[in-house]
Amino acid sequence: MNETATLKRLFLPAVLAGCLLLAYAGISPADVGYVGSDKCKECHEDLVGSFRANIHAKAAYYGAKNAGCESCHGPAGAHVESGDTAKISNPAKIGAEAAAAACRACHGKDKGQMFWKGSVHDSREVGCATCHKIHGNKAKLLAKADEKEVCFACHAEVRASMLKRSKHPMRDSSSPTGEGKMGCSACHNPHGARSEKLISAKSFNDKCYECHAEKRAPVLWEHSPVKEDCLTCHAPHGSSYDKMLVAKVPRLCQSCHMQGRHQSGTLATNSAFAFNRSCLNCHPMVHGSNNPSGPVLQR
Amino acid sequence: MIHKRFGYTAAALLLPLIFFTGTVGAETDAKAAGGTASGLVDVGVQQKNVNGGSEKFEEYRDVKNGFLVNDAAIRFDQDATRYFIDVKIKNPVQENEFYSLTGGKHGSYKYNIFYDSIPHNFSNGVLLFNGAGTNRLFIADNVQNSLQSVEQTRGERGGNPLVDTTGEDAQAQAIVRGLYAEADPITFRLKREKAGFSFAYNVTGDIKVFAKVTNEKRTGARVITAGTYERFAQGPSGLGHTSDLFMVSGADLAEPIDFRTTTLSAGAGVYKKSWLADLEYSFTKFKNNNLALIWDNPFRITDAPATGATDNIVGNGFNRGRFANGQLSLVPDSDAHDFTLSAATDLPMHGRFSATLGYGWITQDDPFVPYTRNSALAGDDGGPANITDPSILPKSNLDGKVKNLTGSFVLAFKPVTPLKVALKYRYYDYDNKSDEILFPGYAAFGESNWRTVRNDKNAPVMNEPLGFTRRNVELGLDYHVAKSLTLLLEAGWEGWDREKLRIDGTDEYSIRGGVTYKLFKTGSLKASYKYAKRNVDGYKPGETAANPEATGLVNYDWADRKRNVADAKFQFDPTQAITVALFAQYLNDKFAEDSRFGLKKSENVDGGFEVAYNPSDRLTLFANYVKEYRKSEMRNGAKDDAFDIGSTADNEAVLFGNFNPLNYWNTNVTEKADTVGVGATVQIMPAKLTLNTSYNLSYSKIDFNTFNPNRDLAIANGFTDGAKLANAVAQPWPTVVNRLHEIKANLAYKCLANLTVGVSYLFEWYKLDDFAWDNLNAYMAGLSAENSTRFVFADATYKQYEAHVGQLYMVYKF
Repeated sequence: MNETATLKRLFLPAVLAGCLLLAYAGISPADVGYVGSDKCKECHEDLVGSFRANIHAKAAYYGAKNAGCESCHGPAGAHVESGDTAKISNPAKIGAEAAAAACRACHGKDKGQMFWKGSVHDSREVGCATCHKIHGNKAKLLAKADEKEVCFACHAEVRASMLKRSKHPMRDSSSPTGEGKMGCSACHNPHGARSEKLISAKSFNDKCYECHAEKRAPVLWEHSPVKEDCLTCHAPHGSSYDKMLVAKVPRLCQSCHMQGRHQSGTLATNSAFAFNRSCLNCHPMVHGSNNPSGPVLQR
Repeated sequence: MIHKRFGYTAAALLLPLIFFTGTVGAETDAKAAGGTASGLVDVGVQQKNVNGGSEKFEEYRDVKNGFLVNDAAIRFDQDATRYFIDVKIKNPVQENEFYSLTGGKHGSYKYNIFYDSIPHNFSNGVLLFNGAGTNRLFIADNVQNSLQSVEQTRGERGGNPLVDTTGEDAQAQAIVRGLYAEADPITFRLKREKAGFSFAYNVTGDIKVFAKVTNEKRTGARVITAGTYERFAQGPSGLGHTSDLFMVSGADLAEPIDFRTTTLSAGAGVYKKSWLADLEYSFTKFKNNNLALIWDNPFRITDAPATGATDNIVGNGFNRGRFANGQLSLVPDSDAHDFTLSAATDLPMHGRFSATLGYGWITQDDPFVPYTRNSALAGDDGGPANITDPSILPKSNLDGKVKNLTGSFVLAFKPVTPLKVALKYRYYDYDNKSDEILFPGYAAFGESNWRTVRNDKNAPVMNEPLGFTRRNVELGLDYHVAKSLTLLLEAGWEGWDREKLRIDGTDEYSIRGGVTYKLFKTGSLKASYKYAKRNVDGYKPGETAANPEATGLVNYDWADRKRNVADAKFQFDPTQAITVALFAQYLNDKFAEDSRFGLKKSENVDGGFEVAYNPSDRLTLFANYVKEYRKSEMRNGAKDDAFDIGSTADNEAVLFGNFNPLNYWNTNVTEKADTVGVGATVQIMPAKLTLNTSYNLSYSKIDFNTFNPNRDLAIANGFTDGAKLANAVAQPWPTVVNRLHEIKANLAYKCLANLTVGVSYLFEWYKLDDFAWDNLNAYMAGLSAENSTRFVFADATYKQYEAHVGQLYMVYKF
C-alpha cells in the first residue's frame, strides 16, 4: 500500500474525528459558562446527593463521560453569579419538547424510544418530566410511587377499571396484599411504539399472545374475531362482566349470531342458554376448535 | 412440588444473604471498597379473616396467615470495578412469589434471572367427576348404568320435553342429586410460574448483542362445558308453530391446564444517538401436555346414535348426546418464529424516521382426535365403519401455517418551527397457509349423528383458513399557534382485506381536531374530537353457505360504522396546595344503520375528577371520582318456520325469510359505574409517625331492557304476548350489580433512621348480583326453562366475600 493511498484512507476518518473534536470543544464547559457539579453542590447538596444515588450517577459508564447537573440544566455560570433561578434551565418547566430533547441527547439511542417522535405522548406534550423525577430514587425514576399511579394521573378511567369485576392482575402493587403483578408497561410503551395505543407488539393480538400463547395458533375451525382482534369481545383494562367481556353473554354472541331458534330467543333468566356459561354451555371452544367434529366450536 | 422446593430454596439462600449484608454490610460500609450497598427487608405477621368467596378475594394473590417476608432487596454497586448486583424478592414462599437477580458491569454487560409466580383463582364449585386436573374424567360405571336404565326417549316423552311422562326424569334426578350430595368441592384455579434469563452485552459503546430465554408453566384446571340440545316445536302447524321447547344435556368439566410456553429471543444492533439499527429473532414454543379431554357421560354406559336425524338442514336429530364418553380437543401446540428488523435515523428539520419490518410464521400440526368416541355412529347414516379411529381422517393434522408480514413506519419532522408533522403507516398481513380439508362428514348433534353437511351452513364439511391484511395511515399536524396554544389535526385511513370470511373488506376514514391550551402558569386544557366513517365492501348475503346468519344481520366488527369520539382534560393548580384534574370522554358508534339486525349503537360517556390537597407538610388529602355510562342497542328476532299473518295480503315468510317482524326483539343495555377514591396521609409526628389511609368504592349497575318493537302489530294479529313465537316475547332480566368496597390503613412509626415498624389493615367487601349465577345450582333439573335433567353443572361461580387482613410489620432499610 503506498503512502498516498494510506492518506486517502485516513482522510475521511480524520475529518470526522476532527469534527467530533471540534463539536466536543464547542460544548466544552469551560467555554460557555459551565461551572461543574461541585459548584452546584454548594447550594443544592440534597439534590446533588439524591442524584448521585440514582442511575444517572453512572452515566459516564454509558458513554456520557462529562454528565453532570449541567447536562440537563445547561450552563449554570450566570445562575451561580446572580442566584437568579430564571438564569438556569429547569427541564420540568421548559416545555415537554425541549425537556425531551435534553433527555434524548443521551436516551435517543435507546431502542425503546425509537418511536418517541410522532407518538401520541409527544404530540400531546407529555414530556419526560411529566412522568419521571430525575433526582428521585424510585424505580425507573418515576415521579410517583409506582408506574400505574403515573399513568392514572392522566388515564383516570383506567384506575376505575382496576376495581371492576374482572381485570388483569394489576390492582395495587403498593402493599403485600395487592394484586400488582402487571403494570401498564406490560402492554404499552409510553415512549412510543410500533402499534396503535402505544402497544409494544406487532398488534393488539400479538400483545395478548405474549401471555396467552395458546390463542395464537391457527386451528381447524376458526372464530374470526379471535384472530382479527381480541378487543372485539374483551376489555383488557377491566370489565363489569365476567372474563373481561365487553357485554354479557348471550347478548354478546347474539349481536353477531342468529341462525337457529335456540340462538335467537330472548331467553328467560332460567334458560340453559342464558345461565351459567350461556352460549358457552354448548360452544366452549369459542376461541377456535381443532377437532374434526368441531365446526360449530362444540368440541 | 418442584416449584415449592425452588421457592423454599431460593428464600433460604437469599434471605440470610440479605439479612447478613443488611446488618454487616451496612456496618462495614461498602464505601470502603469504593461502592455502595443498599436494600431493605420487610417482614410481618399477618392474620386474615375471609367470609364468603375467598377464591375471589384471592383471585390473583396469596394472603396467608402467620409470619411473612413481604419484601426484600439488596443492591451492591462497586464504583471501582463498575460491577453491580441487585436482588429483589417479593412474597417468598407464597403463591405470588417473585425473585429477581440482576447484575453486570455498568456500560459493559447486564444479566437478569427471575422467577415469578401468579395464582389465578377462578371460582369454587363442585364436580361430579373423578380425575380433576387430568385429561380423563370418570364417573362410576354403576352410576352410568343406573342413569342409562332410566333414560326417557323422545318417543316416550311425547311432544313436550318438560313432561315427565313415565316418571323416569324423577328417577334420574334423584340419582344425580345423590351424587352431588357426595361430590367433593373443587377450586378451579390456575398458576403461572415463569422463569427467565436475559443477557445484554455492549460489544462497543454503540454495538450491543442481547438474548433472552423464558419458560412459563401453567398448571391447574378451569371449568369448561360440553353440551347439546334438541328442540321440540310446539303449537298449531297452520302457523308453523308458536313455541320452541328444548331438552338440554351436558356437563361442566374440569379442563386440565398443563401448558408450557418457552420463548427465546436474540438480537444485535448498532445504537447511536442519531441512528440505530438492529435485528432480532424470537421463537415461541407453546406446548399443551394434554391433547384432549375425555369424560364419561354420566347418563350413558353404552354408545347409541341419535334418532330421526337426516343429512339436510331440516333433519335435526332426536335423542342426542348418547355417547358413553365424550371428547374435547384442547388447545394445540404451536411454534412461532419472528424476525424483526428495526431502524431509525435523525433527519433534517428535526426529523426522525423510524421503522420496523417483521416477518414471522406460526405452525401448528397437533394430531387430530377421531371424529367421535361414539362407536354407535359406525355405519350409522353412512358414518365410517371405524369412525373412532383417527387414521381414517382425510388428514392427520391441520398442517397449520400462517405467514405474518408486518411493518410500521413513522416519519416525524418540523418543516417550520411551530409545525410538527407525523406520518405513520402500518401494515399487518395474516396470510393463512393452513390446509383446507374436506371431511366426508362429522359427528353432529351431541356426537350422536353422522352428517355429511354442516348443520350451520348446509354446506360441505370443509374448514376455511381465514386470513386478512390490515393497513393504516395517519397524518398528524401539531401547529404551535402560540407558546400556550397548540392546534392538532389528524387524518387517517384504515383498510382491511379479508380472505375466507363473509366480508371482502372495510375502509375507514377519520379526521381529528384538537387543542392543547396552557391557560395559565399551572393549568392546561387538552381536548379533541374525532369523526370516522367505516364502509363495508362485499358483505355476503345471509342465509347462504357463505353466510349462514339471518339475512340483514351484520356483525358489528364488520359493519358500516359512524364514529364520534371526543375527549377533554383540564388540569390546574388553583393554589400551591391544590391540584385538580377534570376529564370527560365521549364515544358514539352507530353500526349498520341500513341493516335489520345486530348491534346498532354503542355509546360511552366517562367523566371524573382527581383532586389532591396539601394544606401543610403534615397532611395530604386526595379524592378521585369516575362516572361511566355505557349504552348499547341491539336488534334481533326469533327464528320462525314458514309464517303468514292472516290479516295481511302478503306471505311474510316470503318477505322476511324466517325472521318475521312479529318476532323482532330489541335489547338496550345500560351500564352505570361509579368509582370513588378518597384518602389521606397524615404525619402525626413529622418524619416519625405516619398514617396512610384510603377508601375505594366501585359500584356498577347493568340494566337490560328487552322489548318487542312490533308488539302492537303482533297483538293486533292475535298474539297477545306481543310476539308470535313464545321465544320472541321480551323477557325481563334483573339488574346485574357489582360492588366493591376497599378500606386500607397503614400506621408506620420510624423508630430509627433505618427501621420502621407499623401496622396495616385491609378491609374488602365484594358482592355480585348476576342472575346467570345467582339462580344457578349445580343441578338445575326442574328449575330451568328447558328440561335439564341430563345437564350437570359445577356451580363454578363467585358471589360475595368480606375480608379483613391485619399485619404487624417491620421494615429495615440500609
